[in-house]
Amino acid sequence: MIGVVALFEVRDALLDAIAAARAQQLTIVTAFSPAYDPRIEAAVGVPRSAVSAWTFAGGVAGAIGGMAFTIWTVRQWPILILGGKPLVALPSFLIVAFESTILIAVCAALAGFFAGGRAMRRVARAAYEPSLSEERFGLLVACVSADAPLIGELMTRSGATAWRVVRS
Amino acid sequence: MAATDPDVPSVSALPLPVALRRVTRDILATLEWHTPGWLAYWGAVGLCFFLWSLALLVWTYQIYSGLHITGLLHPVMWGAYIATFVFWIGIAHSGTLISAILFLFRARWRTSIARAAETMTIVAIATAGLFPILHLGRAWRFYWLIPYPNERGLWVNFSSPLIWDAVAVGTYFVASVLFWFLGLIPDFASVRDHTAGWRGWIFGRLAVGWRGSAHEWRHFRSAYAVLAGLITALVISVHSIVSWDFAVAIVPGWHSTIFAPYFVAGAVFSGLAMILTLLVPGRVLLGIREYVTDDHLEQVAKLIVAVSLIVTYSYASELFFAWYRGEPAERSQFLFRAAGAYAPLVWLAIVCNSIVPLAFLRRAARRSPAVLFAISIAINIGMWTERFVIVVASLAHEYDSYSWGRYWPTAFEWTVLLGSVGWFLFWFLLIIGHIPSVPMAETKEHLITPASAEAADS
Repeated sequence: MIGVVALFEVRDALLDAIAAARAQQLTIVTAFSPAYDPRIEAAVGVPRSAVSAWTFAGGVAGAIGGMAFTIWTVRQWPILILGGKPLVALPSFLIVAFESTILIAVCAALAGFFAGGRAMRRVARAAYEPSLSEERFGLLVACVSADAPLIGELMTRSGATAWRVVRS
Repeated sequence: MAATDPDVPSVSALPLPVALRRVTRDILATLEWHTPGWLAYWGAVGLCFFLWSLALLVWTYQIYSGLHITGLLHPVMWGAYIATFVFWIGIAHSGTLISAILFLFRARWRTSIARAAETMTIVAIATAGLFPILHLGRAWRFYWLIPYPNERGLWVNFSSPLIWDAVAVGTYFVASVLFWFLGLIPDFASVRDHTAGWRGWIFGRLAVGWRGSAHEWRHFRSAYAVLAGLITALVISVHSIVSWDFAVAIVPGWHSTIFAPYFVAGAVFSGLAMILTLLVPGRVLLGIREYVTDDHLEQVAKLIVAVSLIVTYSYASELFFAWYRGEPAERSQFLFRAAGAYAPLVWLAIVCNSIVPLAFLRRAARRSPAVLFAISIAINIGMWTERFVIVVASLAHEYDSYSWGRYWPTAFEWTVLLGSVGWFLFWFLLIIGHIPSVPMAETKEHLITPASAEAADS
């Protein structure tokens, strides 16, 4: 992919540049910021994260797995009665199943986070520079080589302090 | 220029790019060993190392000679080790309260103290996890608590509250570490980008390729919110389960339906006090006083006084149940607590947990670091004492007067308890001194979008 990455000192300049790029029907790859910002997210049009789906799947697996595992283990040695509880003591096992629901859901949420961001991390790597984690904002726009100077000029007009061509 | 915001540090008065740079520089400076408090920092680390080394020696001797060196004797077979286990689990709770629950409630003041609170949670769970092992006669068999396939075809008994405990505490530890790590990823990237050498390399690996793109932030925020919600449910369940270790037994003073909320409130209470104990000196030691301000500590003090009232209500409810239920052994247990051998401890707990925190009703007390520190220490002592009374007094005075007894910890146990404080502080100081001690990305988020703008957006 060939693109132009422009750097901004303030968030509002970045938002202006995104609006200008949209008006020119340019392909916005992503934006960079040192912190989470819902306005940038909305302006870029980031698709919905799949983390919730991962978490739900993990939670269901944890609940079923936790309950099945406890029942299966007592059936391996079906003579251990404790405190007058039945062998398959569902209220007791529910506690274990609840904990395994949370455990697997948390792990799945983290896996979803890593899986979701993996593709963009590869693309963003070429455009990235250390000041983007400190104080600057960035915008990555895809283009063909010949259009790069025009896009750079557009970014400068919107308030970019610097821009460069990136290839990834 | 960014608007000045009481929820974020005084750097909010600076122009935004300057303020953002200042945040990075200030927090990265805390990772350097030439900060003003480095000598005190390493001195404290060394002292803590000495304390837990001493406890390790005592434990080694205990393994060699047996549990008879403790004061444990029929009828009190759970003593200071189990009380301290409950105490440290309680300490772990406020980290989650501040990080997860207050995040869900959009309480922005939590940001500056969230990292310390989360770190405290992890270290407190790791400390608590030692005590059931310390309490074992054959400590090297601790892994029998873990369900694993073995040649005997034996599995743990999932109907036992002790197994619930192992499952709950294990889950809480893993979930808390993952939540803590997730929140650190953008900050690890900042350290990677602005330091060189071995530190840059290590933090580069820990940042797992983070570039701060809008897409990554989207996934990050979703994951953080989801984890906050899950951990909120988890934190309530964990201390409820710890309380059921006691409540499912038919021991007078334990067998009560109020135990779960009572323990959760007590846990949050003691954890908040420990936050103050750590942060009042810690913010000076780490040079983050500009970020952890008197306003933040005041908010913690307000929470403490609110939770103290809940704890006091729980004490009153326990007493009321004992009287109203009309069960002689239960009444006898509470009379024993009020006037028996452990009465001084009971009254000490009531003074420390119900009366002393009321000082926080005065604003001057909430804004004085010395008063905050002193009261937090009193609450720590009060909460440990409360746990001790619940565990020990109940076992010492059950149904049959023939089997009543007394238990007091021996010098060996006191050394181990002191060592656990050393262990906790040792790891807390080591970790917090080597990671960004204030969440940089979240602080910057508040600078970029002040509270007023966020309210307008919503």
